[in-house]
Amino acid sequence: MKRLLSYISELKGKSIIAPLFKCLESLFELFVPMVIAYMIDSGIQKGNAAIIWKSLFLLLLLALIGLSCAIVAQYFAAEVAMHVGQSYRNALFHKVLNLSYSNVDEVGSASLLTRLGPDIFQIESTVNMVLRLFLRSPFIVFGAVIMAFRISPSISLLFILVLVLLSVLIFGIMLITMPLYKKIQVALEKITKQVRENILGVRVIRAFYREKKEEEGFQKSNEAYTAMQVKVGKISSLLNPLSMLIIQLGLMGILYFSSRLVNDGRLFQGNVVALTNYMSQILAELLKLANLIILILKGLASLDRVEEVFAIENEQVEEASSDLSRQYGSMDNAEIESDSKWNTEDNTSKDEEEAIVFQNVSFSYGNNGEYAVSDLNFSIKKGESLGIIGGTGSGKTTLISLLSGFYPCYSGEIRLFGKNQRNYVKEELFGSIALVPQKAVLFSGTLRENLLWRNKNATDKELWDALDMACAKEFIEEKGKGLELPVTEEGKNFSGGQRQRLCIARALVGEAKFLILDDSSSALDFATERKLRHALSAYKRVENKIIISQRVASIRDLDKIIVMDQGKIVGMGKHKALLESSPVYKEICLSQLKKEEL
Amino acid sequence: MENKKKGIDKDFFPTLKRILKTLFSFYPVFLPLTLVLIVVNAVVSAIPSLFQQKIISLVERAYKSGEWKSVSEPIFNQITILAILYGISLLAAFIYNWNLATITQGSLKKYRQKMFDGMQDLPISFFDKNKTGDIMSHYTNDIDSMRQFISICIPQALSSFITIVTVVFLMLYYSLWLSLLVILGSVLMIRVVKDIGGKSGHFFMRQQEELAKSEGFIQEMMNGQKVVKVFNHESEAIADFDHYNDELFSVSNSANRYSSVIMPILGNIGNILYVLVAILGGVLLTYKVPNLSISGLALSISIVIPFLNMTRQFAGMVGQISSEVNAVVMGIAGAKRVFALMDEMKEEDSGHIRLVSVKDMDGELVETTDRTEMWAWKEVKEDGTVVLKRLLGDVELRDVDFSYDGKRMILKGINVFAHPGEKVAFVGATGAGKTTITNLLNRFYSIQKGEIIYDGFDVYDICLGDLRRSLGIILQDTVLFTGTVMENIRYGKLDASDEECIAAARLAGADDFITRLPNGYDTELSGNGGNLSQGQRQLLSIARAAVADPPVLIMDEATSSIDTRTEAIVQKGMDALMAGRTVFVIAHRLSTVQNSDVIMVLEQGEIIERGSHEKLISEKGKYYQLYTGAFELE
Repeated sequence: MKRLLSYISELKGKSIIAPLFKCLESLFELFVPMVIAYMIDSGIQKGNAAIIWKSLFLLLLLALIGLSCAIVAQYFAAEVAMHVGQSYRNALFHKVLNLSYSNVDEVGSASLLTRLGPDIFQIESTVNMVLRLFLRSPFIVFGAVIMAFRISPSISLLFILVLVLLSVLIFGIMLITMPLYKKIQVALEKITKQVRENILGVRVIRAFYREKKEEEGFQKSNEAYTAMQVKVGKISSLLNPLSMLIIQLGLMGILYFSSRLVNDGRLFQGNVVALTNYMSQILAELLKLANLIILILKGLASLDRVEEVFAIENEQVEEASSDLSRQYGSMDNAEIESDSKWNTEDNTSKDEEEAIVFQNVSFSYGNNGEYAVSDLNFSIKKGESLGIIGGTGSGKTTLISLLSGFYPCYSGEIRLFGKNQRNYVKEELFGSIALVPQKAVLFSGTLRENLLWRNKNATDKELWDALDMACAKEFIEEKGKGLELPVTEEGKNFSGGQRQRLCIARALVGEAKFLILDDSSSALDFATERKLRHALSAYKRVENKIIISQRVASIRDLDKIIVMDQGKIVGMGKHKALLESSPVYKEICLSQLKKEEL
Repeated sequence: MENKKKGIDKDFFPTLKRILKTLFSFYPVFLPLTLVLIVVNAVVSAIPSLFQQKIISLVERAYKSGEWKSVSEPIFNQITILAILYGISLLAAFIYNWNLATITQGSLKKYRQKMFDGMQDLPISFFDKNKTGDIMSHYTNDIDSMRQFISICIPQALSSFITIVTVVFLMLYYSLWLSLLVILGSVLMIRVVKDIGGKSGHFFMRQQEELAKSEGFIQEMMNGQKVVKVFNHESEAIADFDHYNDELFSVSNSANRYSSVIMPILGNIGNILYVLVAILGGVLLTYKVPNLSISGLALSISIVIPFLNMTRQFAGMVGQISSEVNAVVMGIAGAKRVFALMDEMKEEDSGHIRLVSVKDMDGELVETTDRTEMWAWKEVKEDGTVVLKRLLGDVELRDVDFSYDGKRMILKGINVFAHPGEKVAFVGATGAGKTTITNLLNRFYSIQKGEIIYDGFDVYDICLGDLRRSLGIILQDTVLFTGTVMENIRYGKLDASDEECIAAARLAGADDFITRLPNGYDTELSGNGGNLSQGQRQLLSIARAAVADPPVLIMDEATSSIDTRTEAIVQKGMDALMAGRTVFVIAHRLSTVQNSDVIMVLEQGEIIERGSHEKLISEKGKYYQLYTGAFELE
């Protein structure tokens, strides 16, 4: 709410003028019946042409002023609303980019997308309508009642009765239907989920000949959803006829009572016309108000969802000085640390030689207390290459994500070149890592734009060298467009293996301390992978190379190999030594290599 | 050109016709009844002016003569009629609104179901060509714009049309001069709608485009968020986003500015028109200008007052129609897309050979309804004789050519034969055509040339469903469905007992991890089994195929996501699963394929080598190079 108000107040003038002019407009609207009454009573009845012309002129003037007020108001309201939308979109996008990976996992990227898209759109239109109607509708409703009171206090009682009845009707129907709408939303989500599953699973459905079953399942939820919609529709269909009935009865009441008053000379005919006009205005505005309230409720729900994202605390690796809470965080782990054989004090000098030190590092993705990785302890020296091997779900990628600072909420300590990883400034940390992620992602644009991500000023030669080393030069040359080769959304115009090699090339442009390849040759065949391995072993621009793989061949020649199983390090050392010491490593090797290859 | 400008394309009227036709076919009695009620309501709410005129003229007479007594009865009569009319209109409005709720939602339900059912028969290539999000939007956005169209636009168009016709008639009935003024005013209103509305419509379309662009950008950034972060690319991403955002702001601002002024302008033109009619009426009355009208009545105050009411009604209608123009265009566009999905070419199925349960009676196959676990192909010959042939799993591809797009050949002259119980492996680089071969077998795609013979029958003569039922398939991309683990395994065979499912899971080596899940076999899976690892999902899909117990099994990189160590562990189960079946294996891990009966090496859609592992190794060809890693595949 605070954020919303601050965005609105950035256009203070316009956001005040909009509702104000709306009120002006409605004020003029309230005058119109009075002028007509005056015209009828003093002009027409008495045959005074001057008064008739005067009031006609006045009516025209009122219409023109009303129009200009309305235009000014709507114009500014729209601008304020769009401004709010733009600011929200900007701020939220900023925030989303700065969310840590565990935050994104938690909220879900699809959900973040709806918040950035439809939710902000909803806020936008709510602000627009609120600025336009929130003051106007009550103003007209109460204004009309007051005007009626001025004309005839006794008849204004009838107005109040109609107002109460209409409010009960409109808001009663709203109260009944709103919870139903929530249920409908759930049912609709179920339908869309079913369709999505059906599309994504089409091959399996066909292969198992389950189309009929799918159709039946869909029919069930389709019918349940429709039944609820029909129910709500029927309830809502009462609204129009019933509110018309109330208004018509109200008008009849006005005519009935006022006819007596007119007969007694206590009311003029023109006044009766004015009264009926006010009655119709009340209905129109109450209906608008009901819609506005529904809109506001929707807008508030969207606002909540958007603010939820803002409320997520940035778990980022913060600037060195910033965080007291970090210290609390590490105090929680004091127990573990005191148990450890490590002695931080004595390590500082040795650490300068150590490129990476993991000390009692444990991490859990959720809050269920299940560790994705636990008790990670290892170190590698400057210049050493590291291989990490293990089955699916053994924690290899998690280890790398921790090292890269994607998940800062781990326990234990990670030191890079003697300095606590948490004390690194974000840019410095990320700048020192050249990562090739497991999922090969490229971005739409040209090949050159994609390759320049790490170093904007890299020369063409550097780019081609990187492509060459990543075994990508050949197929890029074949396509014949060089570095200007277009890349479509997420790089879908390349095959999986080609994408992986381009991602490797991207990481090889520019300086870095670590080169990390996270299972990034899985889509390559043996031969290409071997070529790549050779090229990389000659690559000397980084201090340390870290290679994650499921293939023994990819890591067997590295300086140090870590074997992971179920989130724990179960073996560490060189290939030969591990074959002796680690049964898991031996099993992995046996499943891939022939006896004589060991 | 003119038409195009207004956003009405050539499909507008055919689509409209089709919507109406389908609606009438859904509700052949209910819909016409409802439309009649709408017409009744529209007429009834337009004619009170007629009675108003009569009442006022009675009052006028009494006012002049002072004899109120004599007119009170006729006035009362008129009011009674008026009250009855209001009652009728109210009742009609109530009933038609009530009915519309059913008609709208009921027909949307039918459209949805038709799309969904139709989708089940679409060829796989349809799903290759269309993005999931695009297909989804048929069920969400397009149906929603149809909802607006059916529930609001159709009744309102009908009602406005009837009201306008009635009101115009009544106006002409009373006074040509005043009518001309009102019509002139409406022409002005329509111009405003066309000019300003057209501009705002243009910007609204631009807004939609810009919105889609920025959403696409966001999506891409979110998918690659890890990369954006680690490459320190946030500020660039934000700068790019700013650009999209600014563009979006400027077009939506323009769109909203135009659209937000249109209603006040229309409203005020209506008001001014109201005043002008009053003035003109006054002038005509004062100067006693001769009246021209159908009724031949002389102009009097009793005509001018109801005329004012009609003016308001008329202006209101114009405003209402103009506010619906966008909804109409969107509704028709939505319906067009919905119909397009419904009209997609269905998968061809001209097969007539069925798969039936049989039992063996003294060496003779006899069709039975019992669950015998013994299957046979049943062919009814043209002369009525029935041939039953045991389902064996004998597969042969003869000179098969295939191309996805009719231009680039994916497979050329493929010849493969697999005898019952044999294991055939395909190896080769990505894009060599391995998966395509298996997709032809289960008729996901249709071949251009050659024959595929299954147990002696052309696969195109076999009923599609039965053909696929007899082929088990395990895909690289495992797909699991919302439901429990048990339900997902049972997907392979709906009438399988719990014990059968568990046995299948054991066979696949999945039992171990399933029992360790929080609720074992009753654990709920959601979002394609997102809570399982890729390897676990693959084990489940193997169990799913195992429970189906098909004579022919296709394994397309079925174990690629299981690490080699786990694969070695489940290998025994896999061997058990494959035993006695005709198996087609696709794998890039050569260790998976080496014990096959025959290995086919594919290169650019052609089989370049075939034979057993030992034979191919000794030939020292491509396979040998692949196996020893000395040759580049891509």
